[in-house]
Amino acid sequence: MRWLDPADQARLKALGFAPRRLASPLAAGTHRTLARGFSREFSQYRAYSPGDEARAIDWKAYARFDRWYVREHRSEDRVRLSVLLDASGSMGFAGAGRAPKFDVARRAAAALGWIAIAQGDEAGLIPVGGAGAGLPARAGAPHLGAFDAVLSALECAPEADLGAALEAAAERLPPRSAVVVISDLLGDTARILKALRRLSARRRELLVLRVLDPDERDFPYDGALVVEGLEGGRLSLDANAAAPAYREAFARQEEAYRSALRRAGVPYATTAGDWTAALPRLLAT
Amino acid sequence: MNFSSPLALWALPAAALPALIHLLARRAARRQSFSDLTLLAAVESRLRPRARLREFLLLAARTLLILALVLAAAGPVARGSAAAGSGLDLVLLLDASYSTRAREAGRARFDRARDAGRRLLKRLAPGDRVAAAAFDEAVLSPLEWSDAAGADAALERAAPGLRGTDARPALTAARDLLSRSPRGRRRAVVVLGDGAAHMLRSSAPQAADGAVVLGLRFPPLANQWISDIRPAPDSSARAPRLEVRAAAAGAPARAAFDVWIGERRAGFASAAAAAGAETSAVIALPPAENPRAPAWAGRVAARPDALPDDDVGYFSIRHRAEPRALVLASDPSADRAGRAVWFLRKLFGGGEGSIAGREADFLAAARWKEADLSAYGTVILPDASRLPAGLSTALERFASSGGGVWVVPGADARPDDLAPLSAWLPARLSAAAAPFPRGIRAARAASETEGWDSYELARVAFARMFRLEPAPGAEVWLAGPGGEPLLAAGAVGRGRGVVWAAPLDVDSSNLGLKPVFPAWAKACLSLTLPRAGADESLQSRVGRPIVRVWSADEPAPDRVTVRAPDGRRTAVAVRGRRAEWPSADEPGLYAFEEPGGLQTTFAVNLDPSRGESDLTPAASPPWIPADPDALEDAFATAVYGVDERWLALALAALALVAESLLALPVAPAGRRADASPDARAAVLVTLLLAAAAAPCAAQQGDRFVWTQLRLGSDWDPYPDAPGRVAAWLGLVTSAEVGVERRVIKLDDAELFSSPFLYLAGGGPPPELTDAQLRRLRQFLAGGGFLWIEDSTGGPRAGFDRWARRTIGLVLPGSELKPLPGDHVMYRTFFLLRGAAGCARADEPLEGAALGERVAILYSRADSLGAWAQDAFGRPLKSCGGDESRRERAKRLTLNVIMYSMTGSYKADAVHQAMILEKLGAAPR
Repeated sequence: MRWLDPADQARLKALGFAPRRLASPLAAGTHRTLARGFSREFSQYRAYSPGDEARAIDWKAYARFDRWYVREHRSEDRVRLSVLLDASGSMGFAGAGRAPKFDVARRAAAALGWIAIAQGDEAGLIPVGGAGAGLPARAGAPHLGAFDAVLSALECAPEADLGAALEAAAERLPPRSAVVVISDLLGDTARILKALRRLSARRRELLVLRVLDPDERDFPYDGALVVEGLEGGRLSLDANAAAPAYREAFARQEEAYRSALRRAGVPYATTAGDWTAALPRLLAT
Repeated sequence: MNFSSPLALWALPAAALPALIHLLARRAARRQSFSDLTLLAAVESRLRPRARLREFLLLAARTLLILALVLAAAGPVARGSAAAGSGLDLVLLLDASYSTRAREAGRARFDRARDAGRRLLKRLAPGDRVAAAAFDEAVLSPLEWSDAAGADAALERAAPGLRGTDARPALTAARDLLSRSPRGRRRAVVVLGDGAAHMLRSSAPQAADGAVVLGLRFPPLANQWISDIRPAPDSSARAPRLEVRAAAAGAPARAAFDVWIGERRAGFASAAAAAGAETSAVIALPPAENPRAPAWAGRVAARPDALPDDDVGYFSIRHRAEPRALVLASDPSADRAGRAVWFLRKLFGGGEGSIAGREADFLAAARWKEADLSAYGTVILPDASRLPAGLSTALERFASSGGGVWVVPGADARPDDLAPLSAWLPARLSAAAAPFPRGIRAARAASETEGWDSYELARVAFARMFRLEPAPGAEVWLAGPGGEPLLAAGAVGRGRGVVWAAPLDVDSSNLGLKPVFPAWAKACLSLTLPRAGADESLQSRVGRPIVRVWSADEPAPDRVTVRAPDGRRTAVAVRGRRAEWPSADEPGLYAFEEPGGLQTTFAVNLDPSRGESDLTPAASPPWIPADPDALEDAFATAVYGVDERWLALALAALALVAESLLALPVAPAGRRADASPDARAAVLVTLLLAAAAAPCAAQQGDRFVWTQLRLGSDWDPYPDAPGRVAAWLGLVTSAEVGVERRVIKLDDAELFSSPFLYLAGGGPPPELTDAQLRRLRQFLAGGGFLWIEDSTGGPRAGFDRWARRTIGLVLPGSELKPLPGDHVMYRTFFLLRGAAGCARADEPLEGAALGERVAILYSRADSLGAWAQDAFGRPLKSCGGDESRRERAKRLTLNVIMYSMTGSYKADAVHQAMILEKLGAAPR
């Protein structure tokens, strides 16, 4: 896969994805439910009683014990994981000598998709903003290829209001699914938080991965600048005067996100390029 | 505001550079793409106002910096005169009026003003022209351009005079002179006066264009003066009184007047004068010395104040003589009623019909010798007939010497009896025939016959009469109806004679009973007095001529001798009965002495009408007032202006500091610190160090440097010795030594770099100028030490004399004395028992002290010669073959050097014990 190389795969092998909230008993997947049904995990042998499915008979046990036993599996459900990938213009920002944030986000998205599919869940991709189509959620290994292809086809495009776009995406999401938002969350803080709240409504499980560039956090510029935003707009300012205030505003915004999401019980992690370290943090909570 | 180099103002547009640069920089700002501008926009909008303000202030500071530098380069000059060109044309006007004689703190204002002017002259540059003249009421000498020396001489020659002040002619003359000077020259007029209001009686003329007019301003001084002395209104010959008017200005004064006549104090009075008002006092004078010509001449002195010249007034007054009359009666029965004497007694007796003011003594004519004729002013012969022997001659002599004789013939007189009198009287009495006229009339209209119209002169009848033949030159005052002269008066020598034609006794005429009799008698008596004896005050003013005119009835001499107040006598010719003394230059009494002994005294006083004595300063003079001690500074400020370049530079410095502060980063530096404030600070520090380093070049720090004075031809007898001395010094002591010796002259600035100065000599050097002596004195007073050494080692010669003389000139307060054997000089490093040198071992060191320490050391023992070596390294001088002496000379050199560096600390008590012990233990 283009967006997930074997090294990363190896690192991610240990990760699993276990949403806390109940997923919908949509289909059989890896996740426990109380409802019994066919699943991959052996639960117990039960004596056959008429009416059970014939294919559930364990013939090896009959050969041994000369009685008919039915194999009972834990009934597991499949979770639909929707990856909301922020493809707004700001994701195209690349600090000096680094890969653009979008690439980092795509790698993270690919990793998450792989984790889900490897668990047997469904994974889908919904780009927020940007140009390119999404991918409906499907399970199965061949879906990864499509995932990868869609990721490669995505491009950033300026999106004025990230919050509105997130909310719009939220409308299309089914309830009782898992959502991972991969975004830089740069925009109107309140609006974005509102959108995130929307996303986690209707019993959806939300995870947020914030992708940043160190330059956005540190603002290491000086001198008089004419700053052109990737989302549009330009400003002329004196970097020396503005840097400390910007850093402070950025820290406040970060703190706002962190505290709001923690209060809401939403797993939250930020990555400044090293997403392989952020993902376990995100999934571990 | 003017500028001394206005060309620099063309650089003013450079002040727009910072704004231009700012605009261009903004355009060329770096582009940077960033992800999201939300936060940045919020931050920027918050910071924008402050950033804008800071930007604006920075721009303003930079623009101000450039502006101030340009202004400083243009050299702003405040209050200067417009012409900034070549040279100065200066006119000095020295006030020589008598008000400048006022003394303050022991110095006359004239001297202070003149000294201020002469100090100003010293400040002139070579291209300047000066015209100096003294002025009082007019300019006293013509104003012409000369140089500073000529103007100084002109000022030196001036002396305060005795006239008033009028600044107008002087200022006009100055303006005329300056208006002819070429354009481009600065013009200035300085009025060296006392700035009193009386200088500007009339309005001052306009100054010449661009001319700066300065004047001195003295603090107000109260003054009182005598303004007028005249006879009091009720003064008469018998009760002479003098009225003295005094005035005061500035403060009320209590005036006390003393009247002096000759050497005697004749009277005293006091009066109080309010400031600005006049007061008068009346003083009684003693009776006149000569009753026939009562005149008083003397001076009135008040207490001298700041201006003493106006506190003395002179007076010379004359009154009509009212001398005593002597009535010599020939008739033995003169006292019988109806006799002439009886009528006269009534006149003089003080009773009804008496003539007040005249007194008479009555004597029988036969006893005329008992009377002293000179005590009387008039002799009356009321009934002249045959006179005793000698009386006529005596009377003639009496009349010639100035007395008056009134002759009325007696009833029984015959013309032959009266012949001796007729010989010299102004009219001859001869027999007249009846019928005698009746009535009299006045033949002349004069003050004596004034008011006679009210009398019935026609009723006067005569029973007996003589015929009067008036002599030529005699005047007929009363005549009969037909024109017969009845009363004739004329001059007799210096006196006068009056003759009445008819006897007075009642048998001969009824005149004595008529109401006109007292008036007639008074008229006759007044005719016996000299015409010129009117009440008058003979006064003149300083500077004006004194004129003595002889009236018709006075004999005029050919020459008179004028005695001036200083005692000198000068002969003046009399032309046309007039003698003129051209100009009375000083106040006092001028006496016109005639050959016969008659003397007329004139009093010459200062002229108070000009208000010269009022020393109130002018309220708004037409010149810039300056204090006399600060005239030079005020002059420099007014003419050359105050150089405000420093103001502009200070402004520039301020702007630079403001710009540096504003350009500092607003918050503590981030990862890449802003380097420009550090760079700027570094540049500033470097500049400061460079500036400080320049004078440091001459400093030697704490090293001893042998400094030798180059004076005369033999100043360097041993060129290599100082290096060796310095080397040994560094070796033996802990002093740091500079190896190179320094040779300086007295005018070098490096004189003050080393506390030790050495002067050697063989032949006499040139004499030191005043400036050099001053520098040397400064050097010594500042802690320097001078070692003069006579290198000849022989007997005292030219250098020795020069050295002693020069030492006396440099330190006039101290004398060159030999140092005592226990002087600290012998103990400062080595402990020596006395002086030692290569040439002589016996002569002591001599020192001249400045305060506690020896500032100049003079030795004749050639200590430095002990160090000299030849090319082989062998000693040059043998020092008498005694190596120990050489050693001692070397040690003495070191001691002297250590004294110059450390002073007398070895004399402190803490060292004494050790020193004494070592001296005691030393083998020598």
